[in-house]
Amino acid sequence: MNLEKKTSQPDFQLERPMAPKSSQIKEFWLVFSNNRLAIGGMIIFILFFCSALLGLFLTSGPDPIFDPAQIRLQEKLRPPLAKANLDTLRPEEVPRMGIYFFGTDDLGRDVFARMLQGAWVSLTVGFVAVGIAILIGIFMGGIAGYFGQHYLGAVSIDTLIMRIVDIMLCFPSFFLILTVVALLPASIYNIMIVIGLTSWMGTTRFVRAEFLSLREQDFVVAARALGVNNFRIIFRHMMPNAIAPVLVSATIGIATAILTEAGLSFLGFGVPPPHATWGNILSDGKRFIFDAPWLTFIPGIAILIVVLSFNLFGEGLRDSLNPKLRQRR
Amino acid sequence: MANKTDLISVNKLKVNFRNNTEIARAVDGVSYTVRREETVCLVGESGCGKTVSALSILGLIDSPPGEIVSGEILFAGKNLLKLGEQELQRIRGNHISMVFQEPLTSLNPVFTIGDQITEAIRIHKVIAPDELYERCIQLLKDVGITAPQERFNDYPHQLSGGQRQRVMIAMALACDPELMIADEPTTALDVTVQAQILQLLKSLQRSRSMSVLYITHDLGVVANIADRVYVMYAGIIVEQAYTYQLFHHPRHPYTQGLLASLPNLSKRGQRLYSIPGTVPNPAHKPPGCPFHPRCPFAIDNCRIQCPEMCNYGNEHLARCPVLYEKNPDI
Amino acid sequence: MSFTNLKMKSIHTHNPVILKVEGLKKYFPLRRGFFQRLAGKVRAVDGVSFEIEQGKTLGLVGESGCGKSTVARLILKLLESDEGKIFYQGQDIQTFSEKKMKPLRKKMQIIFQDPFGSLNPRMTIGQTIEEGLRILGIQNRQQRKARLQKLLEMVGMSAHSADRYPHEFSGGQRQRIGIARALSVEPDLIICDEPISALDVSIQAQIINLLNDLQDKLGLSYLFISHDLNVVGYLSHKVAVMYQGQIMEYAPADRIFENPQHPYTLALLAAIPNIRINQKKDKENKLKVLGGEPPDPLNPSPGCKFQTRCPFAESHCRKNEICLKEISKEHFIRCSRAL
Repeated sequence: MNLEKKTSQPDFQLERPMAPKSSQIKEFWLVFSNNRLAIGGMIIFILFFCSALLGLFLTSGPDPIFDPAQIRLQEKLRPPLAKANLDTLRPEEVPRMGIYFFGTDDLGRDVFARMLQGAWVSLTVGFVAVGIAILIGIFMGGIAGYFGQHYLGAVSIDTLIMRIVDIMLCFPSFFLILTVVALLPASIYNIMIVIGLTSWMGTTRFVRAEFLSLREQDFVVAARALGVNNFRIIFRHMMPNAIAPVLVSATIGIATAILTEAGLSFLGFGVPPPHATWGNILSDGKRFIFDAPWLTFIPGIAILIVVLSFNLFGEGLRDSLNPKLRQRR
Repeated sequence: MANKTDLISVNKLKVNFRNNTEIARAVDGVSYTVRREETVCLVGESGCGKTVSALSILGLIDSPPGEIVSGEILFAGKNLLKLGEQELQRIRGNHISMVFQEPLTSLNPVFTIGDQITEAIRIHKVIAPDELYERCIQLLKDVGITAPQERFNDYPHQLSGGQRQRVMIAMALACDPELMIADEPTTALDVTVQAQILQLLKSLQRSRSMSVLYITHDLGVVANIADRVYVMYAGIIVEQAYTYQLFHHPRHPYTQGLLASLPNLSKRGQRLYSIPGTVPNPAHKPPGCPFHPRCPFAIDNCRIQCPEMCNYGNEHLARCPVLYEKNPDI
Repeated sequence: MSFTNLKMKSIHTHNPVILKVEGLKKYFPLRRGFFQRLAGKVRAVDGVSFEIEQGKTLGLVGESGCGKSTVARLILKLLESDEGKIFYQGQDIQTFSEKKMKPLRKKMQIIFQDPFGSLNPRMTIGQTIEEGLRILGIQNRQQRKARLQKLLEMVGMSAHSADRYPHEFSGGQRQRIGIARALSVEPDLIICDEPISALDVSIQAQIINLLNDLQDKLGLSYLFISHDLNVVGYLSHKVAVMYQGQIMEYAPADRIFENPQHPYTLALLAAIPNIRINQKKDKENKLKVLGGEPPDPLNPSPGCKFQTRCPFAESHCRKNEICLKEISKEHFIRCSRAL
């Protein structure tokens, strides 16, 4: 059979892509949307985000809609959904809609307003602290992973950075934070920075590991062979491929940071008192746990739900960003 | 068709894989038989369903995502697809065993070679410890491992790729199976080692009078080891024949194309024939004959209807009526 | 076809040498144990010399672990060699700094084995190829787009592919894209590191033809690295057979295949399963099997590296280091049998 002669036409029918066009976001969403827990986590994540943002506007300013600092001693320890006693209050003390949604605390402050204010604190602490941690982590991990084999004197950069990480990991970080916070003036920014500075090690390890394996990937070698400069290789070729696990750990890191802040505030080392955070609401409420259980349960459950939802969201992200899982046909 | 010496016959097997959006018909109505004491090759490119069809013999298709839609696999009068997990367990390793492609990952790194082979025997047989040891050493000797007593206590990482593959074969032989399924056992090996392993498989097949179902994509290996060959493409068998027949008188355009596209020194300076296009995605197979978009002989009917096998006699069948009409006999 | 004649003729004509490698060595330190003690050195590349002529193909054949991929990376200076010289068009690039190397980077490109790992999954095909065009210095966006289309067409891809991501393509298509990326900087020499061994059988011939056509059209030189003697025999003008970091035989392709001299080359050729089989059952189709195991690369015994598997090994093979000798014109072997 003379196949060679039969087909004189070359094999140059132009090749077209095999699969129909699909963006990676679309594929990501396809997997993600099948994970109900992750979707639930994401919805709570968004709700929390919105309410914290809203809370900032509703609780701040000269005449806030919900005033978290308004003290009404005659109205203390009212249960949730209790109507305000209009007879004993001055007009400016009456809560919005005349109702205490989450009750009042021992000073008669509106817990709903305080929770709203605290939500913003938790959100910013979570995001800023993790933002700091991620930036340091990516920077250190990136250097260790990409330039690691260069030597600074007797030790390689990689060894140097990874030993710093090991040392940082040796400290029980919560007590480190306690010490630092005790020395520094109490302010919400200090807490964010301190939490951020003590939680970058995980990200560093992640990024380093990713970079080490990406370095050997053929597309990175090809870029080097083309003469692409280091900066572009790192930020155009390696970082986008390394960012997925970082994103996942960041999501879970936010939950941890929120917990840490709540713990600090609970112990009285957190944000200074007039400002409400979920941790100090919880802390104040613990004295009245039998008389006014809502003071403990409301912030407690709020922390639980937010932390849980962040973790679920993070896990969902991990599953749907994992290329091994996604490339399965 | 039922031949007396048939050991295993796969009839009209269909296996689908599904994910969120698509159904891939990985194996789409495949029939083949392996007789006693013969080596049969399933040859085809990646994704043509050759491995899937072999894994379904042992009930090793994960479900989900896999799903055996229809068909039967007859082994010693029993339909393997109807058996429960326990009955299958008794057949696996004991009557039908398997050798995989990756000698690195198919051995457990934390156990010694000896442990793993004795384990393979003990699953199916009750044997006294010293006899067990004797048998292991004998097996290692059989697969050509030098100094088996020393190797017995080695860990997999202490062996070379070729030796590991030999150990895998020893494990597969542990219970004297009637059928050994070898899934690309030499693909990960070097040519010189591949030659050793092929030689070993051949001599073992003869000395133990077992049957071998050999899965590969390498036509050179097929020519060297097979008695009969089934060529698979996109989930169906496109041609079956005795090895000599297949290589000297290929009857399907795909087989012809594959043979013509193999480079070697004697074709120097000529342009190689190449089959245009790409292997279809199992989830988006073309209608009609799956090979028609790449086939130089395709006619209109090929685009509509998947053709039946055409019989050239002497068990040589090819799924191409166009070529059959042109030249029905040799 | 005109190019075939040209190719047949050109096998014995000489072109100027574009790349020359002399005594290239790379030893990898092997560290073991808790304290990363230096346990020895793996001689990955142990004194390799060859030259590639303009517009010709040198086939580098060997089994896994023989150091052929390391040679590729040493030539591209992606790895620093320990010893030896690399001349690109007469310039010794071994001593070049990264900065001085930059213009030369464009001249030498590489194609990889694994079509799945060789493209950045987060960049479209267009972005990947345009990166090279930018390095070439095409600043104008329109020009880049036009050139991109031309490159895609040259490797047989439709222009629609440009805004797609790698995962939408099959292995063979990705390999074409990898070739387009290499071509984007208008190189003279392309190092093909097993470019077809991960591809389906029916696709391999397409890529081989493509490489051949490109050589013809653009006058490219190839260093074609492979473990498959059939492919190397088909494509190459000259062949170097490597074993354990050393070149064992080095000769024009037809001579290596028609008149192999080194026992290792003989063994390799005998081990290839042949599709030309006889009807008289498999006795005649038996492969000649090379016994033995390769030596431990950590502590090689003195003498010839092939001695452990060589059927002709004699006592003096175990003592003396053996050099490459020219046994006939342009035909070198590293064997004591060569006189």
